[in-house]
Amino acid sequence: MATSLRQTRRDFLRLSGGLSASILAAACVTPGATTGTEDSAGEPAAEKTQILVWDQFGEDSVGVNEIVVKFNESHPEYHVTREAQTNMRDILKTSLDAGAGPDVMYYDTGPGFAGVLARAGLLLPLDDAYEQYAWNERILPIARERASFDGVTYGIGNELEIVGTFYNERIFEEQGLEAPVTHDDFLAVCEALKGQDIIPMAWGNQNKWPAGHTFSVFSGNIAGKENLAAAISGELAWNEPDFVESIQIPFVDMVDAGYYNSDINAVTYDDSNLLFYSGQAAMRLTGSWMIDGYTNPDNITDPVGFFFYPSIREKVIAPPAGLGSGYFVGRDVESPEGAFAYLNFLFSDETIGDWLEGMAMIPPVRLNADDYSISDLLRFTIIEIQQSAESMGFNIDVLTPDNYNTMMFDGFQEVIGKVKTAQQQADDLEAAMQEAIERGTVMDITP
Amino acid sequence: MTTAAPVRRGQLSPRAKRKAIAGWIFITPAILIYAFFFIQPFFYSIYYSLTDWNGADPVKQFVGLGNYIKLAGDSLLWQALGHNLIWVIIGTVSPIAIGLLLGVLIWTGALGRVLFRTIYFLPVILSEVVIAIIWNWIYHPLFGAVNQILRGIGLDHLARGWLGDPQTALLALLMTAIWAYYGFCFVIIMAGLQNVDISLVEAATIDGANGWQRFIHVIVPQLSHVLTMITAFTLIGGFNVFGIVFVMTQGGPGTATQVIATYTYRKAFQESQVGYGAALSMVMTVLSLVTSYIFIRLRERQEQ
Repeated sequence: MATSLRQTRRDFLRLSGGLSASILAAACVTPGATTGTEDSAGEPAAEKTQILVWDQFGEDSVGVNEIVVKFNESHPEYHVTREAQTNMRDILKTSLDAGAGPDVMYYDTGPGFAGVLARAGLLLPLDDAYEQYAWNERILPIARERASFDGVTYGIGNELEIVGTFYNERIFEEQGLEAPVTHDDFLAVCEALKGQDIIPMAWGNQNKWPAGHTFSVFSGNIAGKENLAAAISGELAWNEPDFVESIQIPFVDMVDAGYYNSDINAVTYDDSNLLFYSGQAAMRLTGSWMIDGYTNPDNITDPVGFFFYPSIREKVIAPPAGLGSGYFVGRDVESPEGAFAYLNFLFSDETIGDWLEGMAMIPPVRLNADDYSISDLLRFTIIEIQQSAESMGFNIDVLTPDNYNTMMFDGFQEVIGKVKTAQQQADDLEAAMQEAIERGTVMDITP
Repeated sequence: MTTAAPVRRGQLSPRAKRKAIAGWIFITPAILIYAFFFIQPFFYSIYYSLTDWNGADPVKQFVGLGNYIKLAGDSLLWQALGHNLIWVIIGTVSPIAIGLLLGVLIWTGALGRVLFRTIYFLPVILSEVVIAIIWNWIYHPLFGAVNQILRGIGLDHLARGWLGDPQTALLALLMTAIWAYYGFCFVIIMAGLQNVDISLVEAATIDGANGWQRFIHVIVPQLSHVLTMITAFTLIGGFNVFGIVFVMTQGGPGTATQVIATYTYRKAFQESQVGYGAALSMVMTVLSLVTSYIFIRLRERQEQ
């Protein structure tokens, strides 16, 4: 009996040792090894140069998956593997630093994101690639500017966006309302809707970041484009009266007047869209990335219109415009040529339709909106961006340092919740900017 | 008749040696894993806390105790610490009290013991994220169950955005945490109750002790080991709380529910101040260790 037990234990130890050795052996295999993998067409991919791409579009994003399939088919020497990441901000720095990151990544373009990676030497400069592929002729200058740090270009910005007011045309028509042309008109529209028990504007700020867009709209329209650029660059104080007013109007006065749904800080961004879809709210102040949702009959059957937030005290408006994220190449990329080829393909004539028609996203290239089968709302946005690019303002949070953004997001919730005043928030924003200047994380966007 | 060879004092017999080697073989993987995943990162964290590092730069600028000095004047840290203290106090006392009450009630002979045990334990098997999502729906300002019930019984004025109101957000999160944790306390206390000497309870009854006196003076002292363990666990959990807060409010509205762990995450990952974040995590670790140590020592002294 004892012998049998000893043998069993010995067997167990042997088995454990074998298993451990197997695990160690498996761990020692190069992560990028391609043996046995197949490409999208089902052909062996082992001899191809592998390109790993991380993005934030979601695993089942049809448009991006389609682009990857097309690339793999048209570039037999390369094989792109796309991985959708939901927590890129948490893992990208560490992965790149450890040499285990992606070859190509789709990441936020701001100084607190790609800027940090660029300054740490984790990204590959793309100035030569811009020359090699003549991207300057195709890619809009803003897409290069926003992905450049300290005079070096590291990426291609993507997803051109504008922020403005979407409105339910049926409700407006039924109430005899028209798109307002001044701030006072806008307030009158809100008052009229409120009188009919319709929520004038749906707003959910539980996620914190939507307030950043609201602030971008009002500070662009009140302080103006030049002053806003100066403040973002750390050259003008954020507690100047114009910025205080840009906080006071949307976060205090309009809240007190009841122009939004109740419990703004407890309602999520998605839920505020639901209020708009269901017709309980007549307007939404948000970005053009929602066009796909607002033109989808599964969400909303009423026609949706758009206007830029109107002029305040006859000032020239500067609606926020900018880029969502951008494509960057990692420093340790095995095949820079392959990565460049993929970037080149992403914004080529073969893929523009995928971005526009498949995802309702505006790629950073010169294009004719009439060439594509897209919604009127998206066409209008493209034309506006092309025609008014020079006068457009900024999405503040894309350009400001991360400590400033957290102060902005937390602080606006506190202003809405009456924990602090507009002046206190403006002072806190200025303090955050001064801290960022000390840390050297401010992006200069002044001309 | 054979005589076993004498084994000198301090020397192991061959059989004992074999046993010891087998023991080491079994324990070594665990030690290696522990050293690799806990000890090493812990010392790295200490090192990072002495640097000014953004998490990406190849250069980690050594700043000595600079981060710790900065911590002392950081009003957000003190606010977060205050929230943690509230969490530790309410979040420790409540689930243990509920678990103890339910445990004793069922132990005294309630029908359906297994059924109750299963029902009470169910929240424990759910992940924090799932719990957070469920309670987000319950607290939802537009169609959440809490507000629907309040409106249904004519208390419309009490309906609110529970997680968006600075006055109620932290307590709403605590309610969620208590719901998620009391089942664990209940099951452990139930296990502890199996070892309670029933003859002592009967003796107390004969001596004229009422139910409350029997509970406080006879049952609870016999559960002291179990209660010490649960309290220590809960205290540590109270200082380290992250998941529920992060998923449900991200520390908001504003900073009304910011706790040290979410503040650490914000600094290290959202603001790329890994050095400062590491210093914050050290504060969290020291607080957990010191509080647990003091509590356990106090309990031991009481027992002596």
